[in-house]
Amino acid sequence: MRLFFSLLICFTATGMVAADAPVKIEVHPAKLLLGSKRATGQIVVTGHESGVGFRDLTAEATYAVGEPLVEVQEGRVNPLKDGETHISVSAGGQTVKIPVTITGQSKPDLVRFRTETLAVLTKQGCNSGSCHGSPDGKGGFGLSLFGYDPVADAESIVRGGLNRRVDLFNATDSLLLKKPMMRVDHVGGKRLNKNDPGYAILHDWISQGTKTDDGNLPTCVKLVVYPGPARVLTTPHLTQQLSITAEFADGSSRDVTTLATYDVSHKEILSVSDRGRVTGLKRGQGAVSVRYLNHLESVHFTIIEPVPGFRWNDPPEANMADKHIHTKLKQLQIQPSGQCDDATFIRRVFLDLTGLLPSFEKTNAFLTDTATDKRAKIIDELLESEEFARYWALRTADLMRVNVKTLPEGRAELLGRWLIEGYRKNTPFDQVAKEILTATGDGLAVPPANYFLAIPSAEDLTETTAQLFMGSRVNCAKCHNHPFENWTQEDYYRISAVFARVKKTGKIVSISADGETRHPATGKTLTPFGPATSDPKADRRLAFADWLTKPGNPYFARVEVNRIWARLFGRGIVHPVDDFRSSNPPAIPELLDALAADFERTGYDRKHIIRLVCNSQTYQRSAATNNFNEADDVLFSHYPVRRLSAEQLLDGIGQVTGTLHTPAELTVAIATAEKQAAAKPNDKRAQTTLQRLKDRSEYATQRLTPEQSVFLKAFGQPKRESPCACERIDEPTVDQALQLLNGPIVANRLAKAAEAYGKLTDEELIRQLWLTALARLPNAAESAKVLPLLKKSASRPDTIKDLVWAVINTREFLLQH
Amino acid sequence: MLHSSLLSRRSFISLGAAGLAALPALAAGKRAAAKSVLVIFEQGGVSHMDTFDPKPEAPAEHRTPFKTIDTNVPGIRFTELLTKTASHADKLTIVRCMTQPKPGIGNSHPKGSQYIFSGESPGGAEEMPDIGSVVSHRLGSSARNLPPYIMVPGTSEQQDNTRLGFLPPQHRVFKTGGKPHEPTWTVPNLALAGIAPERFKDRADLLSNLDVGIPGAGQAKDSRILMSVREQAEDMLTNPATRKAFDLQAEPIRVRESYGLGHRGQCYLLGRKLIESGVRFVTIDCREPPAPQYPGGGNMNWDHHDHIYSPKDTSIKGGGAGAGRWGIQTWPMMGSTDQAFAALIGDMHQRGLLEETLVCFVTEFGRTPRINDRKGRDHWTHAFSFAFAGAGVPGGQIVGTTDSEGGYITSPKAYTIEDYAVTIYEKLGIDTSKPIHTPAGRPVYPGKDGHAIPELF
Repeated sequence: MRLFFSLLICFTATGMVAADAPVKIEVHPAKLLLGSKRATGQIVVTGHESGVGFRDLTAEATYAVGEPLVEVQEGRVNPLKDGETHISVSAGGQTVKIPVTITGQSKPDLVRFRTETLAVLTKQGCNSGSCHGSPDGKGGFGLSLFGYDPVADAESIVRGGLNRRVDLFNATDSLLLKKPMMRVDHVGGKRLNKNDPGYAILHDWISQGTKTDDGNLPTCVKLVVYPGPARVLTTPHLTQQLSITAEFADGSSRDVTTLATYDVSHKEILSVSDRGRVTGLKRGQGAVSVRYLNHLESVHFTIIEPVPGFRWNDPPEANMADKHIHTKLKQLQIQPSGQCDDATFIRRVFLDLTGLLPSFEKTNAFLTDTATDKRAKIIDELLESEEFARYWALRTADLMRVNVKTLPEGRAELLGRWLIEGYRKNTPFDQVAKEILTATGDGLAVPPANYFLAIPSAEDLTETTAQLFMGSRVNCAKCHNHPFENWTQEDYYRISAVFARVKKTGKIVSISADGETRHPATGKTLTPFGPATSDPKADRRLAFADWLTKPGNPYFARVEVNRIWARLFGRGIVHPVDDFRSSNPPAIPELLDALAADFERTGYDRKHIIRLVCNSQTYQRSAATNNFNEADDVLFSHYPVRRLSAEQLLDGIGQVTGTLHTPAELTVAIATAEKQAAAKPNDKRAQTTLQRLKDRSEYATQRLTPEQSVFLKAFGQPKRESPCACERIDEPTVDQALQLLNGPIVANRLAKAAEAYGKLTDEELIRQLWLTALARLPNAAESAKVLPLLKKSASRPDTIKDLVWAVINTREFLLQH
Repeated sequence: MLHSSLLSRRSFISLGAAGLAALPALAAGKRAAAKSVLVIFEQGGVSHMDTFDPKPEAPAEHRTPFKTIDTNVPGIRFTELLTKTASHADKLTIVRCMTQPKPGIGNSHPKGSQYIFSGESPGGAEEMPDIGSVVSHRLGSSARNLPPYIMVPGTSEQQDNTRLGFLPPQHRVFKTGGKPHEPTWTVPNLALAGIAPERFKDRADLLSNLDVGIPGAGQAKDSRILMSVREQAEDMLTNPATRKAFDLQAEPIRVRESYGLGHRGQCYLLGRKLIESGVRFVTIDCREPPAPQYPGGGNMNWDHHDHIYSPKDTSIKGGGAGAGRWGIQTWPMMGSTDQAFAALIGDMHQRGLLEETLVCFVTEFGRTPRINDRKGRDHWTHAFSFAFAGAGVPGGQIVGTTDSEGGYITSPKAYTIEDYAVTIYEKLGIDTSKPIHTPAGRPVYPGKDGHAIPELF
């Protein structure tokens, strides 16, 4: 998915320049070879401005041709006659000469079905999923999605529709042209104009006899997009011409700038013409993705406009995370928010690391502590806590189908405990992944073997593994090449081939001696994904797991640090966290790369990354925004406010109402239960009670399997049926509000709360309630509102219930901030 | 402004949709005639030749024992089990050429019911949400104090085959549950639980006093949404219109009696009340609950595998697949259905509700034209009947024909459950060429395998 810069050798020139002129200009490509009648070239001229940045000069440059063997218009080159010549490109007072070789002008240059006709059908939208590319086609005319199946497409176009789609004798009368030009009714509307480059290709392909037998011609092996992989456009120079080259298996290459299909990730920030001219619309970042046949490459654009009144205030940096973020913020003229106060911090870090609110004693002690390193200390303390291991394992287990229905006989709990142990001991993540992906044996004895047992089919195993460990949603590629990524059907079934010999017998996972995976369309037996191995009898999973977890793997470290980041900010650097693809670039690539490198360097130490992030200034920012960052919600310039998770909320309500054991009480309860269980070894109930306490079943954030109560479901707790992080729903809904305002979970706990808080004086009561729920003391205005209510109350328990109810329903309580 | 919502990312993903934006507006929109939809789902597979598609010429041993009768439209005939409905034939289109093109899938009750709820044959690449959930997603609620998609009561054997699919939770069907015909019945969750309205108001006042939000972060999305959903929830709980929408006791006894005072009649009436209160999509899914007066009637749906014409329960010696029902002509079965459906159509017509409400009477499939050796009729997916009314559906119309036994469709046209779904979407003006994106980014086109039934427009 990286672009191949090294192939692009550019000619540059320097010389005498005017004050505002570029220091030098750069012309791509360095030389042009036009090897057939219809060959084209796209020149891109770049000015290097003094100071920072580049500027696209393609449109304003002048192009002088030596011997007139070619014609040039705005950088587009068409051949006229065989021979050698040059083009002198002049811009900003400088000139660069590029040599041009023209051959093959006297030979016929027939349109190629697989590499041209199909590309046009994609470019005009004919074979998209909503049109003829849908599984059943449209209006009786079916095509494969983005042309992934040329054989079927050839049949459909040439033979289908009673041969009416193409008219060899009078190409313009072909339905293939008349329909998209709306010369006859077309439900899909007008898709083609006579001056579109695609028109000539379709027309000529038909009049040349609709040849579809070019399957033995070299296939496209690579798409090269210039410039790439990233470019910054600074106002007022907000355009950029792209030049797209397809490289073929025989070593030849061809300009496909007008044949390629363009899309943008953020339409409000970027636009792109069908000839590859990109325009920045406003400040921000976005990707332009370029598709040609089944290849897709993206260029990441940053659009910079000066912001009136902006002056970088050089905020302090705690570590490299801040450094990379500040670089990006400064570039985009976004001022980060200041630091949050201690009360906000302790609530935030407790919720993120343990899922629970800090106890009011803990908060009180923290707020009065005067040590300057108290934030770092509490981070360390929490990372060593049992609550941390359990809460972080819970979110990992969410993605591995750890539920009692899928893994009965206590195996869900076994796998859950094993995942907790991984966090508790801080097992290197490569080891965790390897133990999972190569597990064999009885699910009751080998907890990670349940990974395989929980996944119902070979396809699911492919998709789950790719999504969990490679951050890639490959499921589209099961039936057709992935529409927005380079994943092909072959890749999909090669990942499947890794697991082709995994045998599941009851609850036992073993490896059989044979088992192959075939490509569903071609029938070809596929080699397993990853590097080739020497021993054909070895467990294929070993080689795959080695490849995956080896430092430098493009997915493994990035995906995991991104997941960690997303858990601490509610949003990934790549977002969504399991949708890594070039058309969905990271918000700050340098940050992701640096964290991944650090993760690899420390031997995949998860706690190290969590500690690093929690100690950053970025994590400790206030949620309050300023004039220069209020519109940002992707670059972490302020702390992202978000609803508490279902589990955090349920336990938080339990903590505020005093209906959950505190960790200290739990220790006592476990000790008591242990004594009772030891005294009556045959009493099953005593054993169960003990196990439930040990597994912390009363805590939604700490237990092994999801309870899936009405309340938790309403707040989006996943059932654990999918490896997608999207199974958890984070949005606030009316149903949730009904639960909070009127539901039994809150209502039933209020009585206990009234009893507990009822023992306190009014002042102590609100102090303790505020510290527990909001991790801060009530302010004067709040005391002034609440104290009189308590004083003049006709029924103090009722007033306390009302008060606790109200606090639970405040946004300050419901939100992580 | 820097902004990268999931939405904009998805709009990128919808490569195809970008192209579609340029399409001339489809017929959808122009045809929008319905503001709301009332679906009556009679679960189990109602026998079509005993009801809407009588076959007096069928061989005697397989013929329905019920007389064919005239309706108030010359030439349209039902069986006598629909005597009351017959006087409203002028408001109905009966589609006798409904069929399941892939009978293997929808031939079971769970899958068949899911098929009806979602309008797409189950088992595709994505699990499809119910039609009602899609409608909720596309059009939202028209009555802020009520859920957009309600099921009354959602108690048939197959009620758990409703699906949310890939849609967010706010579009999940709201099932009232319970026995609305009982005087003590109230709707759960939408009424204040254990707290007086005055005290709830005081609490809400205290809350608005204390809830200052997150200082400096007023623009945060979740903070804003929390406020708006809370306001809506408070409205649901305290708006007298919510209680009124479910309050069957407030209906004049004359009206209640006209629907039938039993379970089915009152469920149908509640359906009408909810439509009247502005609910976008209502599905009536009821069956007569077990009661002492119906011995042997433990599962009173339409799955008449045994003893379909029994004057009481359908159980046979040795037990059969059709136990738990009563004969089709009995009161808890077609007796109450005919009365309730006729009353509903008449009542909605009188109130002007048929102007903008599409009413659909549907079932998973029909029943075999031949009577089996247990005197019952088994599942039949080749041909069955749906009835439609309102929202511009022509009255007094029969669409499609079946052979003399009711077995196979003989008309050139046949319509599928997918066609039924698209009919609903187009009646509501929903553009089916626009995809819904799953959280994983896949574009899904509800109704993609169907076409609106032209005779209903």
